Amino acid sequence: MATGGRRGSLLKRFALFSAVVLVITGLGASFLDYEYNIRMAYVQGYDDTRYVEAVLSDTINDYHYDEVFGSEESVPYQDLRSCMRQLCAEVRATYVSIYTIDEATKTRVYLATVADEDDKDNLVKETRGLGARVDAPLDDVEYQTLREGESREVYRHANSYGDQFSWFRAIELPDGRGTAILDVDFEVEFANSVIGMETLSFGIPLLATILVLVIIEIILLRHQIIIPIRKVSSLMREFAANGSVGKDVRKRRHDDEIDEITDTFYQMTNDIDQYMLRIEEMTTERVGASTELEVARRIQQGLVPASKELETNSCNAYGSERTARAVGGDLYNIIQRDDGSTCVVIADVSGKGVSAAIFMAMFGTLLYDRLATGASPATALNEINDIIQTNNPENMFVTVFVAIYDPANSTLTYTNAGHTPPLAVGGNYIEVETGVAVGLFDDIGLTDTTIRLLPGEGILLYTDGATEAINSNREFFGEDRLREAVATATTAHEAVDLATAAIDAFVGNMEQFDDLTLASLFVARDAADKGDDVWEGHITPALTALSTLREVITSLCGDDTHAIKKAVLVCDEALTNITSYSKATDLWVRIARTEDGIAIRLADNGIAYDPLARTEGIPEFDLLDQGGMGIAFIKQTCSELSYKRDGDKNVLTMVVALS
Amino acid sequence: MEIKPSTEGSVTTLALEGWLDTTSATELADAIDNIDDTCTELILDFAALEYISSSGLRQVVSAWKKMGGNLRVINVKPDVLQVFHMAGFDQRLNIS
Repeated sequence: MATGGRRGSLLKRFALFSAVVLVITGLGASFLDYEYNIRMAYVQGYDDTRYVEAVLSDTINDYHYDEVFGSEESVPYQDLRSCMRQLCAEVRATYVSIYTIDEATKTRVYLATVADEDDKDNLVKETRGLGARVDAPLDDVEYQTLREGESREVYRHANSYGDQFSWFRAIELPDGRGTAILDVDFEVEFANSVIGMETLSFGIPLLATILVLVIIEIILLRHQIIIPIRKVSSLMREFAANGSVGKDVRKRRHDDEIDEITDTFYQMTNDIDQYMLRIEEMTTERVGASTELEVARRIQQGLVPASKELETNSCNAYGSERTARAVGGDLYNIIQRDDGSTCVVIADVSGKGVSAAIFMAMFGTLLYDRLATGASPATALNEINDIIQTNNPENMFVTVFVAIYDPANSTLTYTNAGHTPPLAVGGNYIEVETGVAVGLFDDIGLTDTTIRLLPGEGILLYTDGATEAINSNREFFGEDRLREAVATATTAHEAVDLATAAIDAFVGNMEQFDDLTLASLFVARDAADKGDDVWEGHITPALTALSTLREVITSLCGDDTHAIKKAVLVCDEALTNITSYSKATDLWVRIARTEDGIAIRLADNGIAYDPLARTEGIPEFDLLDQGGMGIAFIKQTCSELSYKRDGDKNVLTMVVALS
Repeated sequence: MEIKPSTEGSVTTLALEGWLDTTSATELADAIDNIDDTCTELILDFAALEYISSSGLRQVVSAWKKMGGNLRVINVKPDVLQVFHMAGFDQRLNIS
């Protein structure tokens, strides 16, 4: 906020306040002064009246009553009036009158009256002259005068000449003719004019003095308070704008409130500077830590990618990981070994964060090395356990499940080191021993278990992030929901996707605190693994077997003689080849009627031969008595055709479309 | 499969009936071996033949060679003709 924009000013307010105080003080002082002066005028009037009474009393008593008050024309009376007028002028009275009270009629009987001015004097000479009666009601002050010789208090009244104040005194008449009342009237207005002059002469210097004091005070206020406050205020603005206050401007010290504010301000800026430094340091540390975490995360993603897929002729495997933190403690891996087998691994390292990730990286590398070089699951884990547990100061451990699918024997060999057993999908329950986690104890003695796994069957490996995913009702996803979610899966990718989708739908918007890691392996299915009507047989390869196959095909195809002939043709050609060249001793046949075709799978244990790799066409006609047409016929007749060498078997799957 | 041979002058006719597959191909081979030297033309009547595979075709080629090309295949049904077609026989043999 700029100074110019400020509308209020402490100084202005103080000046206004001072002006009000000044006016009130002036008015109050004037009033008090007036009151004092009017009282002084009254006292002066009283003294004057006594003086008038003394002079007049002497004058009157020089004569007999009748000499003076016998006639207005008499010289003594004239002298009396002259004397009265002199006195009137002398004491600045407006009227001076002498009168008696007629008790019988309660009227005033005037003896003599004079006024200060001639025209008024002529008037009162007539109206209040000798013997004039005025029957206005008598006042208490008049009785008091008669009784006590004087009026005790000033008597204020108004007549046609304005406000008056009067003093009364008793005056003895000569010859014992009773007591008269002397009434001396003074003009209030005149008194006021005198008083006014006096008041001004007193009030103006007073007000001037106060004004000077106020101005001095304002100047002091400005220098002692306003300017220091403005300095502090401008320091604060500078600090707010620049974040610093430059050099310390404190010079003269009074140890007053302003200095206290300034000190507090400097203390505050100092504190704020310290806080800012701390915050900057903390921010730098944070950024550094998150950068290191980012590096750790990238290294870990190299070891454990977000997803990994592997597909061979005989099986398919898929894994995925979603970490709840920058770095996770879960591990999965899928490894293709040189002998054609496929490894699938899942592991969960104790603890979370960077330490778990480092431990996991070490373990993952060791495990990969062992598995890739041909070790069995149990052998690999036992060896790694021996390495880790001898030097494991943090007492970290890892639960692991390792499985290896061997296509040569269609077997799955696995071992479990304290991990949650995998789900068997599409097949029977898999018996899994609990085992002991790797890292803590010596000689954990894990052993391998081998089972047979059929096409379309698979296993789903998971960490507790899957089963312990929670929804908004704080319920766990659980193994049952997981089993249900993947029940229909026929490939590893499908199983992981189904599980992930079901978990995501279950948790909704709830934030998850655990990594979600899934890995799966499925034995591949071909066309013959589908279908509802299926025939399977294990036969000795011989041409005579064709009649059996023809019967099976006929029973599966019904009236579709066209398809039957085509299906028998491909069996005819394949069987001829197997019998003639492969030296096989066993033949496994699977014939399945699918929705729109008939699928025939022939697996023989003869020498490896991929008929589909053959590229040459049908030989010259002249040479056809030596054969060479069979494979061409199969290729031309089948709507779908595949060959794989599955272990020691040639597996040829042929599909003939129904018409 | 049944094979009915008949001879009219120097023309021999083999009428085949049923399925000529890899097991029955030897029967045809035997029948062709039995044709004597006086025969100047061989007719294979496939009117009743339902099926043929490459084993059967090999015997047809053998017969064609033995007869020096004097071979006719008659009354071929569509399914069997399709197999002939796959091997390209319809371009080299006298088929009707």
